[in-house]
Amino acid sequence: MRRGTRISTAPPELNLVPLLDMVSLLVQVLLLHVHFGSLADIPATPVGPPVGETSAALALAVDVGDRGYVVRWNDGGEGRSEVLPCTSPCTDTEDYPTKDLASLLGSIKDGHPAESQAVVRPISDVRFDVIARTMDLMRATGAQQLFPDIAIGTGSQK
Amino acid sequence: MRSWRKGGRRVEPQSDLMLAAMVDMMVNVLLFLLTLYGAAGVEGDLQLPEGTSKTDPASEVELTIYQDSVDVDGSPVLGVQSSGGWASLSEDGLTRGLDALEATLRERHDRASTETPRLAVQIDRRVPWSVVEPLIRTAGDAGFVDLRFVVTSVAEH
Repeated sequence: MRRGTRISTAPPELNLVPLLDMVSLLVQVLLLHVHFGSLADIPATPVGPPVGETSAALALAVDVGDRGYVVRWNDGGEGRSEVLPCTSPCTDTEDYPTKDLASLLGSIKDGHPAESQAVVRPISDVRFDVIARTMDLMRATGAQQLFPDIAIGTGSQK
Repeated sequence: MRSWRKGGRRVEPQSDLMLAAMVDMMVNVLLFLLTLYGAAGVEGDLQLPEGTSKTDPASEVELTIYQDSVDVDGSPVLGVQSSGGWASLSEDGLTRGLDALEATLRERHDRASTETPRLAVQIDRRVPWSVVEPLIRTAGDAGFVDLRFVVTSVAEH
């Protein structure tokens, strides 16, 4: 048995390394979560704006149904429409012809660069993600801004 | 810090790693991220649709439409019978529910500091339009003309 050994009275040092490990892990988890959880919004008005009252107005409307899209617009006083059917039964957003819609909206925008209004009109009981995807496409495609002033048509079902 | 002798010379050890400053920094980063997480997070059973918009959500009032209930600023306003879902809600019950929703929204609208308050609308992606439509129309009737549909931001579809 050792005798005469002095017991240190200095306070023990706090070992911070495990704490740092834990905090580092927490930071990484939160960073991942923030990256995937970022939110944005799509502005819209709940009723249709007064587009189409004059023959000069574009009066662009996109009907979203259970068979695909119907795009209607006014081209120099002449009413035009184009049907974009789903390639397979319209059950999910991927089934809708979004590329065709983006292409058509892009060409309409090229012909009417000053127009910014459009109406989205769900005409059947589609899921909300289909409507949100359609509004997103109408607002912009890639870097090209299309029709950012979107009205969502209510009271037009069936 | 302890020193020792080597070959008759007093040797001072290298200074210890200063962890206190690093801990301070980590705590700051952690608080920052927790704040961001709190601002961006949504409730677990709400699946928002995806969108390429980069506009930060900003609103005075929040309307949240879950699969089985409707909240205004986090307080439940309209619920449905759990067994049957939305379809089983009687016409009378729906009318009363929408009246309550309109009253709540109108009260929030009048209390807002801006003339045209923005209404953030968080809608579960699986909810059908037949449910969303009367709720959106009610929001319009309550005076909200600036709706902000909240989406999960993605780079590209």
